[in-house]
Amino acid sequence: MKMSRRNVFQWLAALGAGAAVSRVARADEAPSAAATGDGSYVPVRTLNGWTLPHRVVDGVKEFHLVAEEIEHEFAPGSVATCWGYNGTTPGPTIECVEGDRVRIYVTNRLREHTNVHWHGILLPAGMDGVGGVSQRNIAPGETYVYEFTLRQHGTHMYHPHADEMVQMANGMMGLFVIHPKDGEPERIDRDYALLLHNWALHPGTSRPDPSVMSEFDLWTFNSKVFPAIDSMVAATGERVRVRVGNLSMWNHPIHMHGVQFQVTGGDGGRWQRSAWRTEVTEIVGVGQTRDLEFVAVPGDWAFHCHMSHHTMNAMGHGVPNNVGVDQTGVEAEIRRMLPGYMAMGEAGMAEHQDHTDSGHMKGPENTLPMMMGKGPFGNIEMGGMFTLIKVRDGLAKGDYRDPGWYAHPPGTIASRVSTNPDFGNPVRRNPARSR
Amino acid sequence: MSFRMLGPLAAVLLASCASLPPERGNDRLRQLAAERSGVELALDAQQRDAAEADARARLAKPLRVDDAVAVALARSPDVARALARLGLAWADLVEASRISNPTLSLSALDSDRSGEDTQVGVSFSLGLSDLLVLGSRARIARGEFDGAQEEAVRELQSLVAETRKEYFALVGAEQVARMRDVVATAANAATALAERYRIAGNIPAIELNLHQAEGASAAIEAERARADALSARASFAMRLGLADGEAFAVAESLPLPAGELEDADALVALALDSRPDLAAARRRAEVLADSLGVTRRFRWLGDFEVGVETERETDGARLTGPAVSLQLPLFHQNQAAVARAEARVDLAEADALALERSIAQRVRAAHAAVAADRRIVERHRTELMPYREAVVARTQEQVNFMLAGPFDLIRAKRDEFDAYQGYLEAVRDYWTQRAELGLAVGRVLASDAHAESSDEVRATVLPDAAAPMDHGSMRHMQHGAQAEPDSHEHHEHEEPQP
Ligand SMILES: [Cu+2]
Repeated sequence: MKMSRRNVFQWLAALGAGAAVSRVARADEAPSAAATGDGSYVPVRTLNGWTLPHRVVDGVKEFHLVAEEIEHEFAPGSVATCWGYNGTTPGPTIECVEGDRVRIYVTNRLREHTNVHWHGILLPAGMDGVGGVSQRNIAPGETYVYEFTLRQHGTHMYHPHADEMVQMANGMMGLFVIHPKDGEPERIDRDYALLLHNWALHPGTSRPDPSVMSEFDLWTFNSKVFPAIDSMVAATGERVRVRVGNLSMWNHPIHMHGVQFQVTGGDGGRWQRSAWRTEVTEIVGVGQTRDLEFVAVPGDWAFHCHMSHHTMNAMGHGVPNNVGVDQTGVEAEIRRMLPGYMAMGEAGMAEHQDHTDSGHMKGPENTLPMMMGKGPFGNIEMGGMFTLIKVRDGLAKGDYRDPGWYAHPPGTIASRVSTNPDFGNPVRRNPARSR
Repeated sequence: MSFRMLGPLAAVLLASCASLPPERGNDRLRQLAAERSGVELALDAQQRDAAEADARARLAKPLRVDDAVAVALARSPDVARALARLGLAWADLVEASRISNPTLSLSALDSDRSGEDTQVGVSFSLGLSDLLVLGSRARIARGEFDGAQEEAVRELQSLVAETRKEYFALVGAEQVARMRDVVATAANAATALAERYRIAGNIPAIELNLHQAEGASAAIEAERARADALSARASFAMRLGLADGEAFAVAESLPLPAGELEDADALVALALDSRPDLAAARRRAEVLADSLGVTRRFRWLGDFEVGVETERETDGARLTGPAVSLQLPLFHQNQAAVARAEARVDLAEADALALERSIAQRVRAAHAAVAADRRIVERHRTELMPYREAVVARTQEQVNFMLAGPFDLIRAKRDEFDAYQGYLEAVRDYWTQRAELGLAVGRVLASDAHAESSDEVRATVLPDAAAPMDHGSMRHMQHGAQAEPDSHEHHEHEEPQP
């Protein structure tokens, strides 16, 4: 190979980026230079994730992605061998400003070829990253460079367009956020970003199964499941943006408690103000992004996908329905040969988390119970695509630390008035039919 | 020949009689039986009474394999039959060891002359050839008898081997039958559970029907296993020679294989040294070779008689004189008898060789089969059973996390039961094959001692039907209305605040 100046430079750049990886911005650290941007925008906060540091060379912002196999923890108790970028899934968020010229090196440390498609970004066709169509794939060990000028703003994504089924199922994806060069139409105080994904990490296994098309086991925000997903923290009255991108294989109705949010943009950048919609649930389709903005009101508020199976961890979908099944007597008979057997779910599955949390009902290795999380009032009974928006009065700007549980003002909390089901004599249709 | 001449002859005969032991060869028989079959043979009334008392004592408790063998030896008609046959052989020996009784002939000859008195003739004759061949004949007969004893021991070995085989078949069959009952109970539990799902409106009729069909199949299999066990029990009782309706029980579980299996070469050598039927066949060939010698030596005799004849003349005078009748070897010198004897020797030698070869082959085949069965047992014990148990444990984990349902769990348990049945059958095959090997070798194997001392195949997979059910420790909250029939009452009490 002829060693041009450019080759030498790329090689040196690869070394430099490798060193940069160790400087990862974390939620519990003071904001770093990489995360604060150039001061013209509020840096995006990738839940449980990080923003890729860059350096400016001759006026070009240079980034370096490394595609590689990684160990990833979905939540304590479930670790898998996944694929990602620079050590994580999702890969680090690339954050720029409209008008920037970017040069992105991509080193392939996988054992098969890959490439990167800059999803939703306007660029020369040869930079689009579609294997076979617009470029040769990046062979193992090779580094390719992409270079283009950002002519738009908005929430975008990146992912491979080579062996896409396998590489995306294994977790290769990332966010690409472009801030408008003329600033925001509405001042933004906190800017959160997350990627929706689904994983066929079958119970008892430790590597995602790319062959699955719809029966996924884990549903994630930034490759994490509740309760391992960071809360979104804000001060009362702050304008908060949540950027949601979807690289899973389902559309997700993303629902926010406590406020009506406005959908202000997405892949198309910031929408005209007249196009903003007020919603409480927004479907983020596969391959789409949506920006949800709201003014924070105090409290602990749920933020989740509204598909109920997406707010749970792995569960069998062909298991017999236990609801209403009285196993009295039969249970004892079964336990004579299967001492560990326990009848469950006659009244519903509400008791389930008690069993799994207490540890007497052990599950398969490396597998999370379907319901998790403890709050001040008991079990939260959630998993998957669920987290909390925690809003408190008087939080300092840039303070992203978890403020703990909300202290409800007196008289603003639901309370029990009776333990007798006959209480109050309410109107009921056909009461004789109920049990 | 004068009557005085008979004196020394009688002495010879008496001497040959005296050479037969008064205990009819029983000492040797007992020794052979003890050495080759490891059994005490009861031959006289006193021994038989002791054996019967011993058998009764053993029958009072669940039989172990050695008990079964002892009872069979005390009770089986096969033993009596073998001893009776040996009695016949003994009679042959006694007969062959004595000279034939002399023949006394009386004759009245009418005088051909008229008016003369009838002549009266008395002749007394002994087969001369008897006298000449007596020694050889006795030796040959002794050989025949020894062979018969070996054959009797072989019959005892066969009885012991069959008893052991049927013992293990019975223990195995009863164990399998008990296990099939448990499986049927499991299938019943699945059916009962399916009925509850059906009552709740959670499964369609076809699913209930499937569980019902499986339950019925399991019940049928249990019936079959029970019938097999009863049939094994009948064969075993018959083998032992038990009286109709006589009560007995066998051990609850098969013993695990234990001890080192002897080397195949050593066992082949031991077999060639020990097999009573081979010893008998070789003895027969020797005896026939001996007979051939005798036949050759006396071939010129033909039928040769020596005798004394007395004739009383009509005038009252007596004429006494020796009488010799001699078949003159003019037309043949008994070549046919020699040829026959030669052919018999050849045949006996060929038989002995064939037996020797087949013994070596059978021992090797049985040894290989025992070794294979042992490996199969080991694979069951160290692999299949632990894996099946692990599958049940993993399925339980899946059920705990609602990744699988109770029917999957019961199915996994039934698969474990099936594996366990395979295990039991493998252990049973191992022991019956060992009995086969012991029979092939013709001697008690040192490693057979372990059948009594080794651990049993413990049915850890089986629930203890007698154990009280544990309702308490794992019960939680509102599981089962039975445990908390007053659960509605609880709503009246104040629940703890979060
Ligand atoms: Cu969803």
